[in-house]
Amino acid sequence: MKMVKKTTAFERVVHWVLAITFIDLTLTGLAFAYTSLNWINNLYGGNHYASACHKWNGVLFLVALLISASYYLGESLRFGPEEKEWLSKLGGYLDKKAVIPPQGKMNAGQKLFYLIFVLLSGLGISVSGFMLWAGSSSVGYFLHNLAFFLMFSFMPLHIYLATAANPGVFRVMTRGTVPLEFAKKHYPKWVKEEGLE
Amino acid sequence: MADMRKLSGVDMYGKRMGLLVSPELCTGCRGCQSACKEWNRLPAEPTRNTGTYENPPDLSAVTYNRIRFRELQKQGGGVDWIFSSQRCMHCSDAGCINVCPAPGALYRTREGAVGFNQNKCIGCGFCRTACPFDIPRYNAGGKISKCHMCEDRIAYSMAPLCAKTCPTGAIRYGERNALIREAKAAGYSNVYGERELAGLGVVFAFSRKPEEYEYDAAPDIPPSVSFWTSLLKPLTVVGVTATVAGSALHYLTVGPKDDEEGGDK
Repeated sequence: MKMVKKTTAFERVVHWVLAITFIDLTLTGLAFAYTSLNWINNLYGGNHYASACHKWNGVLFLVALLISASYYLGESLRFGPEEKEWLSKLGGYLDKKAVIPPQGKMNAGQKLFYLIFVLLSGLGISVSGFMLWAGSSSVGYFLHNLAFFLMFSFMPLHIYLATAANPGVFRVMTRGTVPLEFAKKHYPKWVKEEGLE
Repeated sequence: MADMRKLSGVDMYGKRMGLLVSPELCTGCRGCQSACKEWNRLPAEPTRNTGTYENPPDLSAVTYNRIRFRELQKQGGGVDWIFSSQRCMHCSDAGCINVCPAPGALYRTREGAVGFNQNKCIGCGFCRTACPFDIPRYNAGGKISKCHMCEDRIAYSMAPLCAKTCPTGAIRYGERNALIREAKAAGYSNVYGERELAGLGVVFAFSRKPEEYEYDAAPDIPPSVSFWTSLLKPLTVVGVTATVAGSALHYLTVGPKDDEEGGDK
């Protein structure tokens, strides 16, 4: 089976840095925001250590986020009629008979998800996090909570779509390669543009 | 709106303790400020004379209470010199306790005061954001510092030292309900703090509008905080549950995208 390379090793490492720091930040964040879950912070050695973990993992998260933006932002902003049509048909996720317009390296859903729930929310939660780190801040408090709501509520959707909903696609973030046939079906425009056939 | 679960126990038997501040009895001696520092072993702060007898100019990590000095024009000439106590109000609906991410760092005492434990404080600063009266301050180590109504005295049925020291009875300690009754009997129909924030632990016998003593007429938890506690906090649980449930339902009904390579056919 001919395989094509979808992601670089660097890209995958950055993705998992983002994922792991996100999970850590979510666990400690939940333990702080919902005190009935405060027992989670015992895993970190108590609230003081959890607080330090939360802050410094936030720094790591922002660095990884900015690196990811350097190669995902441009692609995400390429939004043409085919992307709009993909959105109007919800990517065929609710109707298997729907004819989906060909998508590039990222489909319209991935682009929108990245822009809103990863980049924008991620920047919002990081910047407001630093504001709170610096001292009391109403704006920081408001933004941090709003961005948390957006990211935490929608992250399960990303996990589902990247695993169970699309069998075979998880390889993109583990080995980085997918079968050519798979790529032709999922990213036909990208296969054509890159001349991978 | 006050979260009733958080308030339960604050004044279950009508025995909540409190302070009654009567600005008209205050002579501005500031014995309360010195007594507070003495009991809590807080150092004095060097300050600068800015043309007022008010000193220090603000609360700080080592100043838990202070007297505000205000000069107000009397109708028909002359000046009223007004003294009023500034300190933690020990709200029933205490925003600080509600947002504190380190359980036990801020808590309600049996007497109804809002106490703190610096060892548990992680110095996040949320309590200052949530405070309608801008009371919490942080010491050099970033730990919460504020009036705790001398919780280590009232637990042993002793009056807070500010009230004990006050030579004119401008600050009095007692059962909150009794203090309010007395203030009303003395002719103060609107006791400030009787209903504010579901009832303050420190109530005021104001004869003027609260604003004239530099108190907000309708104090409330700031919107940035109530937006989280009463809207976004529960909504986040709904949101994440809906996403997980929606994903599971999608998998079970519509099903995954079937691909020859990865599908489980």
